[in-house]
Formats: sequence, C-alpha cells, structure tokens
Amino acid sequence: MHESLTRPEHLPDYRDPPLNEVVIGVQFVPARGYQQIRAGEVWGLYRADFPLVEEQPPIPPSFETFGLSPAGPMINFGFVTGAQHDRFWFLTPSKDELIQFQHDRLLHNWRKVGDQSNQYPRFENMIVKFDDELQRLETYFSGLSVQSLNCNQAEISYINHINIDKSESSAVKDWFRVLNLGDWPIDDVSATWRRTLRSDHEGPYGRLSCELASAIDPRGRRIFVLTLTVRGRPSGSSIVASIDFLKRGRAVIVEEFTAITSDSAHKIWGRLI
Amino acid sequence: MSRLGELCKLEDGWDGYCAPAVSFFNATFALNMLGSACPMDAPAPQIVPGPDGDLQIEWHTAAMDIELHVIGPYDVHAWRLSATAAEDGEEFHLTNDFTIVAGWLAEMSEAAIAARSSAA
Repeated sequence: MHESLTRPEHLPDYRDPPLNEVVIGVQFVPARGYQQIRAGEVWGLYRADFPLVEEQPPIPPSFETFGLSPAGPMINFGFVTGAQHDRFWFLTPSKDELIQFQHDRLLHNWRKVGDQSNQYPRFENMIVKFDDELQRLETYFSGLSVQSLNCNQAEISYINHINIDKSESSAVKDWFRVLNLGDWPIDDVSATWRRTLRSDHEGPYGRLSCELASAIDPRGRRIFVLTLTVRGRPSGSSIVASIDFLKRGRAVIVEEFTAITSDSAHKIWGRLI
Repeated sequence: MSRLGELCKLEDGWDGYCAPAVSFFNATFALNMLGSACPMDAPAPQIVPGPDGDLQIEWHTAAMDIELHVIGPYDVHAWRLSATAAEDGEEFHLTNDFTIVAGWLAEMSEAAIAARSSAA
C-alpha cells in the first residue's frame, strides 16, 4: 500500500496544473444481501470524514469492449429494471471531497470549490484513501454474506479547466499541440477522441477518452475544459487489481495530457519534470 | 435492444422452476458486446435467457452457426460451427475483445450475400 505513496519518477509533473476535478471509481457486481435500506450503514463506514449526504440518480452500468473499429458509442438501456437504487454522495464539510456510492459502484472525487484555492491533494494520497474506502466496503459486504468485492470495471478522470481569459492567446493551437485551427479567433471548440489501450500480454485492457470543449466557468471566465478518462477491465476482480488499474490509468492520463498540450502551456503550469 | 429489455423484465420462475430474469448487468454488457462485434449488415441474432440470469445469443444460417453464452460481464463462451471449422466447431473464452466474433459475423454476412448472388 505504501508503494502508492511514491510518485513514479518518469511521470511529468506540474507545480500548478489546471486540474479542477479528479474522479477515481470502481464498478462491481451488486453484493448479495445488500438492499437500499442499508445505505445508511454504508454511510456509517465513512461518516466521520464525510458527514454530509446528498441523493443523486444512479449511474448506469458501463463496460469497455473491443472488436469493430471504429468503436461504436457506449450503449446503455434507457431504463433500469428491478428495484431502484439511488446514488449517494457522502461529502466532507468543505465539499471538496466526496464519496459516491450506489449498489454497484464506489467513487471518490476531489474538486475545486469556493474561491478555487483549495489544493489538489495529489493522486498518491487519493488512491491510498480510496483503497481504504474499498476495503471498508468489502468488509461490510462480507458481513452480509460470504463474499468479496467482485470488481469488473475501473475508471479515472482528470477534468482540467484551462483559463484563457487573461492569457496572451486564446488560439487553440497555443494550448494544444494536437489541434491547429489557425490563428483566427474562434467562438468555441468541441472535440472528442478515443483510443484503445493495449498491452503485449493482455491485448486491449481499456480505453482513453479525451474531450475538449470551450466554456465559461462560474466566475464568467473563458476556459477550455479538457477531460481525460481511462476506463476498462482490471486484470482481476480484486481491489488490488482495481487499484493497479487506476495507477496505470493515471500514468496514461498524465502522459497524454503532456503530449497533447503545448510547451508554452507547460510553462504557465510550471512543469517540473 | 428491445428483446434484451424484455428478458430483464421476466418474472422469477419464468421457466417453470426458479430461474431469475436476465440480470440488467449482463444485458448491459451483452449490448456493449454486440456493439463491438456486429457489423452493420450482420443478421439479427436470437437471444435466449438462461437459468441463472445469463443469456445466449445465437445466429444460425446455412453456412454457419454462432453461439455466444454471456455467463456474466467479461465472461463469454463463444462457439462457431462452419464448413471450415473442426467437426465440433471452434470455441473461445472471451472477456473484452470480440474481434474474433466480428470476423465470424463478417464471414456470415459475406456468405449470405454470395448465396443471394448465386441464386439471382
């Protein structure tokens, strides 16, 4: 576990990255013996640090599969069957961190809040916390019925808000080396690309999704929102395998972020490595 | 998609014993799998519920039989019988990569087109 406290030496690093939100999560087979009436017991596992609660609609199951290229869109039913399960947000008092729980998912978010000055706690700290949160949930589920957490999908997202309002340039090419839309000012931009992640011995193990869009943030500033997500099947159903997948996904995202953004942007964000 | 939806809404014991409906988890996975495996011109499959919330997806033509048993997410038994396959057919355990099945279905579609051309 302490191994995860060390940042991999080869990974690019930034003093002031434009991160606005990071989400790490695991999807699992619904536990035997769990019913929504027990959601309060699950909150009890985390309540000391996450004393606030909100109810949200559930996230549908998702799976990354491979075969035909180009890949089709992720498909979901427009309905759910059986008993309805809500998604619960368990929040810290400052609401900058939250745990999302529903009967088949656990996620942990960090996000900027308020005056946006709260510092990113860094992945190494988040993943240690999330590992502990998964272990607690597994222990709880094993008390309902003899079972382990049967994880079948993991995902990690980095959502960046790139403030271009006071910058010398709002041209897309000055921020993203992969997109050259010329020197003309553009009203807005929207681009999405995905690629399959493969390893020599596993074949395809996940998919990287990159979404770029222009937007106005809550303070009225012009920004580019760059969302990088890695989603896929861990090498096994255990918590350890899911944590490994998330570490691997984080490395893919940081490397992709560095590859697609420009050197001049890296200077603004204080690239260290 | 509507057929998968129907199978999720089966009543417990639909088989006269105690089989549950196809699990929503399995049906969602099957839908994604078909998106990765089925070329646009592939024939529509038959989809049959199993006794444990699992499901079977089948194509049967004169040239080929293909059966995919979705035991659970990322747990699929794929089998094909064709003129070029061994007597018992060929089978694979598949998880997230359905390139093999996409190839089988493309062959099935080509065989159907060839049969129609020669009949015309």
